Amino acid sequence: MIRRTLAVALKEFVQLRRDWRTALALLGMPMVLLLIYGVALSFDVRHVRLAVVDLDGSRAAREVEQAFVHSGFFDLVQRGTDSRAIDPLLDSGRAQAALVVPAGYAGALAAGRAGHLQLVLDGSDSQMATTVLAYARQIVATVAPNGEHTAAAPPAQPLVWYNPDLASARFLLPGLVAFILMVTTVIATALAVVREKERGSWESLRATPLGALELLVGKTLPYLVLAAAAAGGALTLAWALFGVPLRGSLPWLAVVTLLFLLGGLGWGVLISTLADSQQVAFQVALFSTMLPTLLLSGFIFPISSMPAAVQAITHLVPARYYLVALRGIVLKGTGPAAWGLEMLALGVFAVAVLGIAAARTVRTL
Amino acid sequence: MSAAPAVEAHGLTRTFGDFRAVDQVSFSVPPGEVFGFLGSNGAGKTTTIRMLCGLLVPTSGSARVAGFDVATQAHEVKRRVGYMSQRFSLYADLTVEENLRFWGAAYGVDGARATARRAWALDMAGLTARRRTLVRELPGGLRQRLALGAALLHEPSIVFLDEPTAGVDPTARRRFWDLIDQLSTAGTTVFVTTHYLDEAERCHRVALMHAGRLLAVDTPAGLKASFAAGLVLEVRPHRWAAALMDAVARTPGVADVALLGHGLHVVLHTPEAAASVREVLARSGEQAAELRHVSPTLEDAFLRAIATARSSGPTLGGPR
Repeated sequence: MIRRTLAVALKEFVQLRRDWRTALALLGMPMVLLLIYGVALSFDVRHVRLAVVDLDGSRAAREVEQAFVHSGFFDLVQRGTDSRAIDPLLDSGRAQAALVVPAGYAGALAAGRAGHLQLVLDGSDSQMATTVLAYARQIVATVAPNGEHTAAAPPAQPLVWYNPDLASARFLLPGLVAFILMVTTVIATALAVVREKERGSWESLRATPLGALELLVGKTLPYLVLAAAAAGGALTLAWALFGVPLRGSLPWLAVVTLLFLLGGLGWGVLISTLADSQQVAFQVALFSTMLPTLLLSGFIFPISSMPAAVQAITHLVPARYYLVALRGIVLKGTGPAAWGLEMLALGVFAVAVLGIAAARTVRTL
Repeated sequence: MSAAPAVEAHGLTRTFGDFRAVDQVSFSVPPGEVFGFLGSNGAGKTTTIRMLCGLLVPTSGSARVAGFDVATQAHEVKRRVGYMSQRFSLYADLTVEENLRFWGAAYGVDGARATARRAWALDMAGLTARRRTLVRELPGGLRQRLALGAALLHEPSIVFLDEPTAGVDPTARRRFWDLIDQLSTAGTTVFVTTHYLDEAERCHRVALMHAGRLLAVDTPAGLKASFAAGLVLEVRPHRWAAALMDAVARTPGVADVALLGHGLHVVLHTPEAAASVREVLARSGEQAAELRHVSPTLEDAFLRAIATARSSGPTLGGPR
């Protein structure tokens, strides 16, 4: 049993070594994609073009302005004393945000009342506007309480754990790793089996006493090793280049990742039992992994804000569980107590798809 | 003790939807025989072989191979038969030796026996010196010999060869058939499909298959005698005229006319039609044309068998 499985795996390894382009793509693609997306895919907003209209002309007003500029998020593009200048600036896009310090700001503070500031934002990019607003609140909150004139109660002070500077890379990169691994392993395994079908060798393999399980495990083993190496590489890259930490246990990370990969391999094999050509297999593999993993896993869009029906569907997306566990281990340093259910779900998914794939392989006999 | 048949089929049938690929096929093959399956493409040869190898479950009927039922004991069958499929012969991106290593292991041959069998297969295929060559670099004939060797690594008592020599040059084909003879002499049953008639002639017995049905099973000589005896004429006209061929073809009782060198190869429906052909020749001013009965080829027998089945047997051909 084991000897025959290894014979299949060895044959697959030798073929992969000869077809080094595929092997290299499998191994390198996740890291290259991570590099590209890691740089490009960011919700962080920097260098927001800011215009300042100071109608007060006080020292307090200049302090607020300085706080914005020194925060590092804003670039001052224009300052003036006429609020009518704002419209053309925002319309033309030369400024994305305008800070207005109304006349009497310093006076209000001096009198012990709350000083009001106005921030005008270009809301056509709502994502950016929301982020900028959050930054502005933080900046104002840091300026006002320390301001010598303030008497107003400080606003609620947010305290962000795990990712204090709310860098989106830390949130997105684990998702990206899951996404890339899922897509590449499913495609690779689906193609590996369908290739044998296309060449007619599947028929000859089925004519041997090799069992369905020996065949499937043997064929996917080399891909599992490659995918695991690629996963290690991608996570290392995320750590080294993008500052994604590893706060939890490495062995647990390996276990969860392996379960996730097994599910992906099973899915790939399942597709290969349905598809007869590499082209069909490729398309099914791509569409069944890319969109669900991108949209329905919590990678970018929070599952809790989806409609109930869509939320139900997300339970079938393995990346959903992997992401919870991965973010937990990497960002929070939590143990299986926090994501035990998710790990179980990954295990169930892997066993289910591999089981169905094996049953189908036996039945297509 | 008379040996049990190596292959035995009873009413073997396989349908794909409404299509009867194999229809009520029954035959028996004794051990050591070279048994040929002759038929046009789509006649059901490959489907029959796939059922006999335990790759396809029969819709109805049964078959025993090496004493095991192909439907319920497929695993036992697989351990005892070798199979060389029509489309695939070995992995082109593996070397000769890597292929033998893999297929040996797949068939459960290991240890010292595996080494010995690999050496045997290399020797048989004449590839000992080229064992580190990638299979894709081998010519077709050598590849087929190697594929045969790979299918024999586990010393099966029966080997199924599905059009093993398709696309192989005549010299290589002849050498391949020498190997088949050797196997048979050594006691291995060889079950082979082909549509080369010269190959069918080398089989001990030939089964004629058409549209899923088995039309006849006999020795090549027996088939020719029972289907085409006295039905094949060779006509050598003195002058050549294309019109003559048409006239002969239109003669009642003539099944088929083909050009053969300087003459015509005429197949009749009944021996009596020979007289009609002579009349047609006389009317065409070819009284002196040479007309003689010749011994039929296997092809003549095959075509006659199909024609006979069409006219007498139950509806043949076409999906039902």
